[in-house]
Amino acid sequence: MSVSYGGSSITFEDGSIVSSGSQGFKNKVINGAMMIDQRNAGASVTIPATTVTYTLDRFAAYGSQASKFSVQQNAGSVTPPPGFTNYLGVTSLSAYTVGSGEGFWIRQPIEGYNIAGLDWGKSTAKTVTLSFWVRSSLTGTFGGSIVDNFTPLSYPFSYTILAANTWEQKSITITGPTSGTFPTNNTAGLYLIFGLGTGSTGSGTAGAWTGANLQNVTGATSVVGTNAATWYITGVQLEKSTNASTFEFRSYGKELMLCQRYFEIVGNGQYTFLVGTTNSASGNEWDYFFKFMVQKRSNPSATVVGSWAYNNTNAANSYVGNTGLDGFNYIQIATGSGRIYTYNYTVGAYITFSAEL
Amino acid sequence: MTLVEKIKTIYPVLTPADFAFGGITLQNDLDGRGDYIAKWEHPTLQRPTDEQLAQITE
Repeated sequence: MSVSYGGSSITFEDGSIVSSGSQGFKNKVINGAMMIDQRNAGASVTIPATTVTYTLDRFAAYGSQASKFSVQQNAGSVTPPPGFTNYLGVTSLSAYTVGSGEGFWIRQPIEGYNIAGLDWGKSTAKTVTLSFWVRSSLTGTFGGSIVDNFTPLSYPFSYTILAANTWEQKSITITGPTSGTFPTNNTAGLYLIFGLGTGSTGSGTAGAWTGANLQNVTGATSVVGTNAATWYITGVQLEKSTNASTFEFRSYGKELMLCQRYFEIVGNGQYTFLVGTTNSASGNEWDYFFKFMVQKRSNPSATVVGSWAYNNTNAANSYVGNTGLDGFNYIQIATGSGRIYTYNYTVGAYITFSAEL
Repeated sequence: MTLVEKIKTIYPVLTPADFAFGGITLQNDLDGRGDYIAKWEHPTLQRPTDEQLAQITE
């Protein structure tokens, strides 16, 4: 078996590449293989106006106007690129001409803790390489950007899709910025953005860090500009390296746990969340503690969704109490005498806990 | 009435660029909670209070 050394990477005979920065968790992007879709389970989401909306786990979408595109895991049911089983699919829902101050995009905020080793914003800033597989019904120049959290500072990048409806792998090497604000705590360290149509205000020149919130390159192809246009992506990887290495496939369970740091569903299945006790006098309070599967990034918000069943209590007296990083307490207060319990009555009844960036 | 419509009612001067490229981020985690203000860093306009938003009706 032949092995070649390329200065900062090793290439094996089967084509796999190991970069010099390939220790564990080399890929800073979570769910880059688009396997996890806790919220929608493969259903399509039409993106509303002016509101960052989460779609597949860790990936959010935005549109300055409502209903110009939808996002769906495996939209269009095409065969994913080799080695992959899922992708994030964007479908344009109209032929919209993007205004100068408007933007349409997909993004992933990357938590500061996960980019600490990049030294971004310092004189020792490390070079990174972004790689991904992309397929579109359109051809031409497309773009995106990496944006810091506060300054603003951004690095627009471009890539070219040569053939319509064909998976192509792209890689972009980005010199680490020596200025800017890239937190290394539990807030957003940076935003990785893929443009789907951007006005002049948010567009700039590719390949340089610029002191503005730019999200695309000037002249990039607008996906939302063509009705029914498609743009699919998977295998998204951002690594500390001067070139792209083989995609870091993590196990499904590990990837799910990485996602659950930001969003977790409790009781996802009929009758899978039940609290209760044998008998209770009216007015008695019963408290229960539940531990999350994964500690959360920050204190999460809790939302009770769907149809629930109650006995000797009701929705006003059966609720999530306090939440913390590790879990939550659930409170029931008896409204009469006798057995008291609460459970999720249908498949679509569960509790969500969100600590998204 | 959506959150962005309420905010635009309070501050008609806001433009699409304020939301797309400025310091205002409205977000929906699709967790059942609905839209919320995730970030408000506008140079002149104060973040609207919950009371102000609640007063805006259809």
